[in-house]
Amino acid sequence: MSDAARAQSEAVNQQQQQSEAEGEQPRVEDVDDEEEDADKLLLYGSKQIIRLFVPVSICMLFVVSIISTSILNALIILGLVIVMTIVLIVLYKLRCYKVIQGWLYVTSVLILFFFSLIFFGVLLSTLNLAFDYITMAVCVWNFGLVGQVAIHWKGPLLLQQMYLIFISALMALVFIKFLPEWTTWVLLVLISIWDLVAVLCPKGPLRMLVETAQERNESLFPSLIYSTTAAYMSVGTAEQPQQQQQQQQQQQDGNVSSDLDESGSHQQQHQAAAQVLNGGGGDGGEAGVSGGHDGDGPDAAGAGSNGLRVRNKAFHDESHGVKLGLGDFVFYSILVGRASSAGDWNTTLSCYFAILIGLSLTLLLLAIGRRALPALPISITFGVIFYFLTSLIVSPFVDALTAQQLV
Amino acid sequence: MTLLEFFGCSLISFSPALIMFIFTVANNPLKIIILTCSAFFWLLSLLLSSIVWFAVVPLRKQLVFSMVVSILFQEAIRIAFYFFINGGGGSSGGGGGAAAASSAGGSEPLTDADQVTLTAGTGRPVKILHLHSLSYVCGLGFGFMAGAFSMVNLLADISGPGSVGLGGEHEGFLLVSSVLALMFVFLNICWTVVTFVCIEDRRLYFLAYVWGSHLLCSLLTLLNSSASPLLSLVPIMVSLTCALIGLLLSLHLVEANLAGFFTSLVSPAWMLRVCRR
Repeated sequence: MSDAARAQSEAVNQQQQQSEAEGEQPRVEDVDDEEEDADKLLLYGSKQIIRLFVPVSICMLFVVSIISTSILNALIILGLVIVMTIVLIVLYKLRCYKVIQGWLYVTSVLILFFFSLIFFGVLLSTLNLAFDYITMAVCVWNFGLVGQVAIHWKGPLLLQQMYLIFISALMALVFIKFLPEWTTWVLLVLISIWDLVAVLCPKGPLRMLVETAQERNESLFPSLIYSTTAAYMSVGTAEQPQQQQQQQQQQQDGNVSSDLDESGSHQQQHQAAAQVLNGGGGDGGEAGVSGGHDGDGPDAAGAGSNGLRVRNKAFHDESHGVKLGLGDFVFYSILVGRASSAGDWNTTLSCYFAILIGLSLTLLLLAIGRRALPALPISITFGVIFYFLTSLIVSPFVDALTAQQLV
Repeated sequence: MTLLEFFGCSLISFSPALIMFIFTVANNPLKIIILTCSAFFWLLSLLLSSIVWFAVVPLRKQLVFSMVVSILFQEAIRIAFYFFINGGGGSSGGGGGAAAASSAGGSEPLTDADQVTLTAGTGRPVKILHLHSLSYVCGLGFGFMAGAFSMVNLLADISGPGSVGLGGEHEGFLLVSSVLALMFVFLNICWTVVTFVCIEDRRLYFLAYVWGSHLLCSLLTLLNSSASPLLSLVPIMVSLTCALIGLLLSLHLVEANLAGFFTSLVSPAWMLRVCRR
């Protein structure tokens, strides 16, 4: 990617030189005009100035955007995220559930098997441990398969949450390992801006996603989202019987939704209110996880419904089921990981607390606003500010104090 | 001595805070949130004081100046946090009034029994903590952050493979640092409890103790030298004394039963329960 970017930047530099060369000529003419005729200057001067403005500003724009490939890199990743999000939404709007399902299956297979294989390999080589391939294959096979079952089908909630966390951590590690430092910071800022736009704009894709899901009375991709309650329950509707019937036909989840009827209305309000969306809905595709609630067929729902119902009732009283996109997990971890890779634990600590405070503020706003909110902007802003302030100002101060044992 | 020293010193500094966190804070989500908030506020005070340190270039080497500034900021932030917490209760559905009423009337400290349950805007009962337990939790957050910021980098350095020391200091360097961090965890708890009660009851003269002992304990650490650990006994002993005085004072201020408190230290409730069986 960096090679391509470099090649591009060279091409752009040539362009800039050309444009500068073009820009020289009118300026010389302009000077001549000034000496010869004042009227002509009045007439054509402004035109000439504008003619200069355009190449100069194009030049500056290119330099600004190219001078550090980090911005370009970040923009490429952001573009990928945006495209993926839009594809996801189009598929969801067209009710191509099977396609989405397949997409999520493939990505989670990729992460759970190949990425974890690479991860364990690197871990073992770092720890200087010898390990034979056969055992490794058996371990990774079991690990990945259990993960697939827990995420997509059914399993203890704790196990599912653990796998979701593992996947997010793996994604974050990949980002930290392969992105240069400044690209990470630019990416974090851009992603949080994108998150803000996507969730809050009237036509923002993630907002459309949430609204569509609410219209259809489905829980929104139980897969891409870490939920504090059972992630793959579908929400029953007591309020709108027509839609409920529709939903039952579509989802084949009759068991669960009728079981949930008495608590359904409450639960649904809470869930609708308590969804915090992730910055990369599309990134969720990369971090792909899924809990199938529609394609799984009646057996899964029926078999799961008993345990599910009990669990639901237990959770219903104490928890509203706040949801957080896995993308948020990934980007929070990227920030903290990047902060800790500098080797200064004070910075890590302050970033951690800044992110936690940002998250609490977001959840507070969620309780007030009762609508889906972007979870990245506040936390990432806090985190980035505290990273730079701590690493530049606070850490030298604290180091000076601790070196002399002053408290 | 590397890994052993790492574990020993980190346990010296943080195990009391950890135990207090597990047994008194971790079971209540609101307390955890308040702990996080207070840690963040302490971070803010550190940020402000280091900005001052960074800005006043001629005095950068004179750490006394920035220490005093830092102490002032810490105490100011502590007071600000009191008003933040009380104001925050008010903004979320009129909880502040009830909380204030309960804290004015309540006299049993450090228990979870005296929580006021009320319905905030979310339609869900929100538990507002009693002021005394709240101040304790805030103090724990402040103290933990103070200790952590002074210790983590030292600990990370000492834990590294094959480290024989940090910068040619005496052998007990890390031990002194960790004991001081431990002392400051306790001191911060006492200071916060005393400060909150003082502002609540408008008995501001006890603030003099807080500020005075904070200045005393912090500035005495200037006696620490990298040559020998002997002089470090002075700040440690003084801060131990200040912590004990602060403990007694805060117990007095929250109108706790002193005898009962000490009995409960010697014979905790769980032990009594086990004995009865």
